[in-house]
Amino acid sequence: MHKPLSSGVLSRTRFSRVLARGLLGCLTDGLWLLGLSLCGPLRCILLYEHEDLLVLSAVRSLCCKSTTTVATSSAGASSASLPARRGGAFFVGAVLALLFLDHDSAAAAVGDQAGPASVLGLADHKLGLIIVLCAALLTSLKPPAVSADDKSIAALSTCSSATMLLPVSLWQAAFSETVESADTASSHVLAALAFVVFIVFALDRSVSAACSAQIGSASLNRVAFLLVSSSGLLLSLVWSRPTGRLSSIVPPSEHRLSGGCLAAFLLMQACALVFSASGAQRPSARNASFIGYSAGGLPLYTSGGGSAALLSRARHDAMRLARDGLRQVLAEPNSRSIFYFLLLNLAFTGVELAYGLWTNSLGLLSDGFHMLFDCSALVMGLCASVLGRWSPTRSFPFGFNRVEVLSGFVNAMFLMIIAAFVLISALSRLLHPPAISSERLLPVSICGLLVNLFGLLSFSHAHSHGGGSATKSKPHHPDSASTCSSDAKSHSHSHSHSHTHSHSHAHNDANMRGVFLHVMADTLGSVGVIISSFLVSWFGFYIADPVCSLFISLLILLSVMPLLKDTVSVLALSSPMPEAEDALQRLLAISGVMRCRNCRFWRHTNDTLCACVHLVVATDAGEQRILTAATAALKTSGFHTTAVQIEKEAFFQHMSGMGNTVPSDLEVTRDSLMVQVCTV
Amino acid sequence: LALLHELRDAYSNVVAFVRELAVQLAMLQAEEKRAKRILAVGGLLLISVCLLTVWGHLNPSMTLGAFTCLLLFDLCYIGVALVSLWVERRQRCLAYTFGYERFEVLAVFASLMLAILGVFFVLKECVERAFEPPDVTPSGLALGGLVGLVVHLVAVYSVENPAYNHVIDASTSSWLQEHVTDISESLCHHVPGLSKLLLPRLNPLALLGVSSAMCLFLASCLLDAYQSSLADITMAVLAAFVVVVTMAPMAAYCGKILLQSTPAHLVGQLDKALGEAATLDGVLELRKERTWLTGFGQLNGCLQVRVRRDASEQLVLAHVTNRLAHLVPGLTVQVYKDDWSRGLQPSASWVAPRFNPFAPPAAPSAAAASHAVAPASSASSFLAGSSSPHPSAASTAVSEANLPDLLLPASFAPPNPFTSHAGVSFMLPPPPPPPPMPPSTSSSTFHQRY
Repeated sequence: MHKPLSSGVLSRTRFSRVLARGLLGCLTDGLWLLGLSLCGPLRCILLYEHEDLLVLSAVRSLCCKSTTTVATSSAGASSASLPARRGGAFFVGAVLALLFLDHDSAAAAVGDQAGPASVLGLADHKLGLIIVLCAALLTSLKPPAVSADDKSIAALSTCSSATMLLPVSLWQAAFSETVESADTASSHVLAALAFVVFIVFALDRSVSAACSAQIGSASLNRVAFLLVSSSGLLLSLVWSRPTGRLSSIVPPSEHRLSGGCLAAFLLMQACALVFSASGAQRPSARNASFIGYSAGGLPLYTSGGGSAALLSRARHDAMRLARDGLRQVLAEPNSRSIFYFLLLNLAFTGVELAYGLWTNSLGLLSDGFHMLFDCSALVMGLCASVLGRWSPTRSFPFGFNRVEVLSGFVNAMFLMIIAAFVLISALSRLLHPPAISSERLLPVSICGLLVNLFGLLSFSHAHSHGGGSATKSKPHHPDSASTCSSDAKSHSHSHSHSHTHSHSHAHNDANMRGVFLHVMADTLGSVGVIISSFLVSWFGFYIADPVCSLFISLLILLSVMPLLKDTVSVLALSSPMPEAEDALQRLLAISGVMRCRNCRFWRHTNDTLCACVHLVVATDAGEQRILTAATAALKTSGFHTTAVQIEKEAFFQHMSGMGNTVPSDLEVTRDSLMVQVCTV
Repeated sequence: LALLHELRDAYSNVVAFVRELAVQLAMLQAEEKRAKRILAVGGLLLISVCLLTVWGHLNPSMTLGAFTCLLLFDLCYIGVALVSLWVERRQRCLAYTFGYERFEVLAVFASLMLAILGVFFVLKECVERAFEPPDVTPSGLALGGLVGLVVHLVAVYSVENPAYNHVIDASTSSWLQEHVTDISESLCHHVPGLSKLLLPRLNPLALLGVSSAMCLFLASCLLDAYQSSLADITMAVLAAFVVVVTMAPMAAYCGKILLQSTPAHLVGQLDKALGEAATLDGVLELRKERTWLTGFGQLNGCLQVRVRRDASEQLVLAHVTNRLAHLVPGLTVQVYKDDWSRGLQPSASWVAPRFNPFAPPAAPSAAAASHAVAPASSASSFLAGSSSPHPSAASTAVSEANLPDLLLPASFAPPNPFTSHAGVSFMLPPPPPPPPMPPSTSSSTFHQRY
């Protein structure tokens, strides 16, 4: 037991501190009692009893989470703060469970019980929970009483708050006594009051102080919350199902146990476990960032101010990233056209969504989300066309050109899934054609058609097949080629390709083809909507809608197939067929070359071909001469990235001398080349 | 009309492809015992997918839809197992010079992407439902989840799937896996016996199935308690999130293979081996080292090695191959010597004005402008002109000085018209270079000359 007044007369500063703390104490206690009366003991315990541990660390972990995610979560920090984040998630989940899963949410909406909650339109429990949460936050602001001085201040502030409240309560008591009949055994009331004051304000504090002195505050926190909340749960169980003699004593309570309470209890336990464990384990320097080594070789950290600096740096980085990205996007015609079309599409989608929300029309909204969905394909194409121009790195030795092929492949799969979904829903609607109302959809789909036609025109220089739109794009061709002067060569190449033999596999940008097909599918969709809505509104053919969508999905499926085939053959490293045979013939024609081993031919992107060949040459042939000749031969057949390994008999002898075997496959000599050319 | 024609082509292609697929499948099934088992599991999956679809039709719950998507992914998983069986039986041929292993990677990637994209559709459906909620009843959701979970676990654990096993081992762990590992670590702290079961990493697909089923149970409980379809939608979004989170690292791993990249875990070893190879006797430098994975195991690579002029190429080749063979089995090493052409190319551009009698642009005009000045000054201007390209002059001198011993070795004097022509051209004073032309044509003539 400490003696609060032992330190003599109060100084002025201490007096003001006592006063402030007293006021705070009044506020929190008042809030706590209000919350207690509103939401019952168990919920109150769950939220309030961990004031010093849980709320603070939950808030801290949530803030920490937001800052680290902004800073693109550097590897160390994200793995270290994992448990803290999980604890924060548990805490939020518990609060949400209490707020939304409690049983009285439906009842409160109906019944207008008397109480302060009905003013705000909230249920009693919810308001109580929020009040208790506020109280808990306020208490966590209060610094813990550590030294004897602080303890005396705490005790005095309790007194001061009591003196502040005393006149109010006395006045209220006098007032209520005048209203009611006065003899409600004031001695009973006084006894209860004394009991409560003794338990709550004196015994609680000193017992917890004694316990923490005995077993340490960390484990006290751990055990205390477990004990308190589980005993609260038990009591409320007993209370909510009063049986036998108890039922006569205890009135049926309105604060019954519910599933939400149970869930919150479990989540809170988990949260407390996580926080107390992680708080015990890790040192306080979590926000510190490593800056280097001291002269003695020890690591140095900056402490404090970390999060603010981190935030500003992240913002700066994001700005720079956006600016650089925009410049890269605008640097090249393909990505530029995708970008502009994406902007157009997004604007259209935004207008559609806003209008849909305004007029509350479901059809518009779902169409808007569909457009948003399509935008994701465009974004992917944009990313791929920017990424594809990055220069090679150590782990991507060939550069990033293949990203475009990959994006074409993913886009093709995306389209196939879309087509499959449309097909399935069309089939199911074919059996039961629903009545649709299409007045509002018609203008929207016409607008969508216009937007998509614009996209078709702007992308049509990048594709090489598709009869109807190719004829449309033909007058467009000269100026599109002239605007894209930097890439004019490849474009004219693709055009000549498409005009000469229109349905061979197109050797150009798979990414652009994927985007083009996507836009084309959208156009087909809006055309289908227009046709079917005409048919429905004029002739009442309700079956026209599923038939149209069936047709469209089949069209999409079939037009995606070539793209899928091309990208698969590139990604699966198939060899470019006429070129590879040509190269082999040329290689074997070089004098001195006896056979080719381990021939590897592949298409790196649609227009870069690569080759790795081992040539076994005669013993007396000159290696450098054959090397240059072979490289030239490969170049003339179209392979620009080449590696030629010239082997003589000596090489095999050296290798066997070193105890290595030389793996060999795909040996091609002059005779066998003839055979293979015949069979393939 | 052309469009129709093309579509007919595409259609016939598809039909041919499907027929080919059926034939291959029948062959596999006839010849492989494993294929039969896989097909049996696939049939079970198909039945349960149909069951769940009908279930979902009767009771339009989105969470059940998400779970059906998961089972559809399992069908793809089975398909990947079949593909790797098929790949095992194929040999390399001229059409696929790397073999068919890439198809395994492609199949895994495609199945993962299909799962992710399918989940996008679930999300879209969820958004639509949020505006117009249908009445979802909790009846049968839990039962459907149980059936689906059992079938999913059977598919994951009973089918031997080397491709997926490799990806699961090699890819970085997903968010879900990290958390579960973290929890199970602290669990194993108290119960050490569980560490064998839980600790290194759980199978992400099994984890995914369990968490999706838990979402379904939760949705059913919540629906039971609150009759609000919002709970169903929330749980469906949660399940979709879990699917994306699980699939993303694996898809990233496969995508990196498809992009012809060097696997990150091998970069250190490779650099060490290349460093060793660079110190071999006769090796001057290693250039353009490129390594990439074809399938889930084999590393291929190509490398250019510049060697000293007097080194034996075959010996260097053998040593370099020996150093790298254990890391990169499919290695192609291009051994080359520093030949005269590399010295010639830069020198020719500045040698030109000195020896070219045909109107070199700068020097004669300068001379014409200063024709009244004394010859001493013109000489000094000539010196000033030649002082700037001095280093390259030295390099040409070196390369020309080295010419004789380059041509001397006996192996380098075959009766080849090209080489002898080159030799002759170099014995003479440097020839007048061709008039300035774009680099592409000059390189082509360069190759024609040799």
